[in-house]
Amino acid sequence: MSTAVIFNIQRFCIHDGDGIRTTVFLKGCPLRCIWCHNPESQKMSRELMFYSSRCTKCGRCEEICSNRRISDQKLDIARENCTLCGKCIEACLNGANEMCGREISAQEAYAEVKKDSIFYETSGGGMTVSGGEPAMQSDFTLELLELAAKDGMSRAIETCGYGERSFYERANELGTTFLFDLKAADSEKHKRLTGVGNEKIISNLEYLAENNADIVIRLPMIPDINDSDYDIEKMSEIIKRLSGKIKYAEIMPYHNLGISKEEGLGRTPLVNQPNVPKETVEKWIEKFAEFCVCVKQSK
Amino acid sequence: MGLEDGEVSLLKCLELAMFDGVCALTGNQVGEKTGDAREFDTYEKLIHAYHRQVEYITRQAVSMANKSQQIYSKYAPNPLRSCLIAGCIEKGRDYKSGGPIYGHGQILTEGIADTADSLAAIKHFVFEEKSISMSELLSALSSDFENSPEIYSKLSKYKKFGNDDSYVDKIAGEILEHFFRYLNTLTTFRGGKYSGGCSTFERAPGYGRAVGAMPNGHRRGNPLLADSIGATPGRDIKGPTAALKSVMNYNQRLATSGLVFNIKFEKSLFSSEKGKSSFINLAKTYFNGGGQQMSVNVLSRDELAAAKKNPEKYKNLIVRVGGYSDYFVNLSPDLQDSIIMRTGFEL
Ligand code: SF4
Ligand code: SF4
Repeated sequence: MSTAVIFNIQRFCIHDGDGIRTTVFLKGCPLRCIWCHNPESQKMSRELMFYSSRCTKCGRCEEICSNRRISDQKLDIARENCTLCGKCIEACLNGANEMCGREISAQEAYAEVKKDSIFYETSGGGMTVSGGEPAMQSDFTLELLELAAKDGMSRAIETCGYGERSFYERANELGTTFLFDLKAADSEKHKRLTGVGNEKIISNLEYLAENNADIVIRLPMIPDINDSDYDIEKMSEIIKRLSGKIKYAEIMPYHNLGISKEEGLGRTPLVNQPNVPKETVEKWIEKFAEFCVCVKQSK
Repeated sequence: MGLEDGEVSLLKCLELAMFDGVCALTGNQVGEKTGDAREFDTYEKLIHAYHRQVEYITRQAVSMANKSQQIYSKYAPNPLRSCLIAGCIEKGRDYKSGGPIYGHGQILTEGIADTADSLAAIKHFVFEEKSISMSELLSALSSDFENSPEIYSKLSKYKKFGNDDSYVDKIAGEILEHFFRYLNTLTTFRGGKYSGGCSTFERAPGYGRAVGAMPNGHRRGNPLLADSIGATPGRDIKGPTAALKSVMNYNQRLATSGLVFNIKFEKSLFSSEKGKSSFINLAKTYFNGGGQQMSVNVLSRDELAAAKKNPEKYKNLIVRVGGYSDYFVNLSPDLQDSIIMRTGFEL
């Protein structure tokens, strides 16, 4: 029986694989993408989220915790001293504080996933394990995949590719769909954008492709960061090399929904751009086509 | 033939059960004397008092309905409509006087989810966890929570109907079943049976205003009450599949007058093929699972603006941007604005 720290189990996910799905979001990721839209998924430990827009500065939490101070109509939290005791969550009448992350067993998480079985049956959906990085809490992820495989439930993982080979091997044996991220083709650049080089990632991807895995390549594209002609050309080369062995490749255009969460965690976002207009995505798709690669826009 | 003969607020009945039949707003004895709730030492005793109040109030509603229907049939017959209803011509009788083949009457119900949420909170805090005593609860309710913000906070954060949580959903199923089964024992002046339904439409706010503070966190006179058989607005926060499963848990066959289920989506759901097919699959699953009816609303820009202003009412609203979703109320005001503004921006 394995456990993991998760930050959400979201039902009615329709963008992470076929049909209507439930996605289990794990906490903890080996990468630090500068545009990360799920900043609460990076650290594996629990974190306190504070939504300033809900705070009325009533002072109730200040009374019970010395790490919280209201001055100039603003609430400051001395996060370095916060013990994550959760008392402020209880004290606040406006729901301005939330704990992000809880430990859960694979069995419990799976029970939650199974609640929507009737919808998976109608729609051909199932379970997706995402993050964070599912490979980082691999025992838990594999147990979930095993449980789903036993029930014949469709199963998928979203991965950055930076896990151990044995993890991908086992997940593939279990008949998993891999939604596999490709963030930059050039390793140096990959390192600048995410904190790690991409050799291990490409090698895992090639391994899966050689072993008949069900693969969808996902391309998170961020204007002026990884969308130059050169970037697209290099990514196209990788995709072309794998042609026939992957289902398709799709673009995940940058969006800024992560910004408010980043602020909720008391951090400053590294990338803060407007959402990508449709025209830009179309331009990217054309560019890929110039290199004889067909990519879709994510559903 | 169903006529809209009357309506019973289950939430008001629960209030009466908690205050020995006394209305919390006027102080008048309007229900039966079912005993001082502080003396109830089990949840079952509370439920028993609640059932008695529901039955008493339902009998009142039925007796008023029977009187008014008699007056209608005498002074406001409707010959044209009667011609179109099977049985009337054969019997030579107006549809209001018992002409149709089926002569049942209908009494609608209000506040199912609010009542289930309230009962669940009492069951949990007062009888199981015992962290709030009945007398503390009653005094918190009487003061509209003014002097007990902690109790208010606990109660309003507790489990709510509409999230596929069996603890609450089971109670909702039981209270609806009790109401309909009881109604079925009563007869109209035309000789038919009474049956029930739930379609609150624009009437819910009136019933919301007519109750005092309640254990689901309802504030005195707050117009916000459950939308037909669905959750109290904004309290179903686990997405559409969970909301649907909660209402699929009702024994919908008992409600011969129909159960209305309203569900709202943001327009981005319908902008992709995947979104559209997912919507179709939601509906299919609901009807296969015994659902009777589903009214679908697509949120307009004005409603999104309203959601920004009243986040409490729209906690369940999910918006999507390029393959990612989040609750609208969790977003920063700027981001909310940009979503409100996004027109012609296919998502
Ligand atoms: S979690 Fe505890 S220590 Fe941290 S801010 Fe809240 S009350 Fe203070
Ligand atoms: S209790 Fe809540 S609303 Fe009051 S100051 Fe603290 S965070 Fe803000």
